[in-house]
Amino acid sequence: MSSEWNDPRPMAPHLQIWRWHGAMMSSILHRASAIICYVALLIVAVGVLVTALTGKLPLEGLVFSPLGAIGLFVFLFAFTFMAIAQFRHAIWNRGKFFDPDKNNYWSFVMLGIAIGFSAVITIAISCGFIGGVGS
Amino acid sequence: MSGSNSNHSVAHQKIHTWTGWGVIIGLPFTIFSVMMAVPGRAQGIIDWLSTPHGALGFLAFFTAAIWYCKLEMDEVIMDYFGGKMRSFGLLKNKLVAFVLWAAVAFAVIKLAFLG
Repeated sequence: MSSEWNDPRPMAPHLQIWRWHGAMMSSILHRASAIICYVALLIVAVGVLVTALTGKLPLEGLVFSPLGAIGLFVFLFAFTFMAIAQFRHAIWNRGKFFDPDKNNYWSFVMLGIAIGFSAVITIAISCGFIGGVGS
Repeated sequence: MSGSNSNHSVAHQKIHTWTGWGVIIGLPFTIFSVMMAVPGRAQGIIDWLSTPHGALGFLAFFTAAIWYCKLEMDEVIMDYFGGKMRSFGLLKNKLVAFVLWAAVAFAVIKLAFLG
């Protein structure tokens, strides 16, 4: 990465040292989801600003297309996983839930909840189950 | 860790926790609002953000989310970059987050209060 590295700490996340496990997956995914959310917020900010200035949603055809639905799923997943992971951090901050086996198990549960929730919401919106786009 | 770094780290963790709660609490409301607005396409979104509670609610969620993501990106920069690249990255990240927040704040205030 940087040739100017002057930090005495080793570079995170030590992928070459740690054996792969569920909690590690969720930790990396938490960080990745935050970066995806950052990109999503950038897109939302530009979209809302242009909408406010022109009265039209930019790239409306793309937003309400199957590609838009995939984007919605990815962004929903990232936000949902990030929120759940942060909730787990809040529990850790209270000094609870440190058992490694439980953490590994719940990491996969968190992943499942985020994927399932995002899929349900995406399908509900995309297929017009709430009087939406598809209808 | 120096005293200055330690203070910065404590502040970082506190803001991270508070913005994290903002995201956790605000996300369900935002998703619900989007679900209600999307059927109306562009006009639905304008209608949602044109109401004071819709605009301020969305701005509150956006504020928490952008600051949370900014802090996460700060951690990425601090984990992988050192020296001047780190300083530049942190400054640039702060600037990007502020510009995005200002853009959304202007947009929702314009939609909800200025017409």
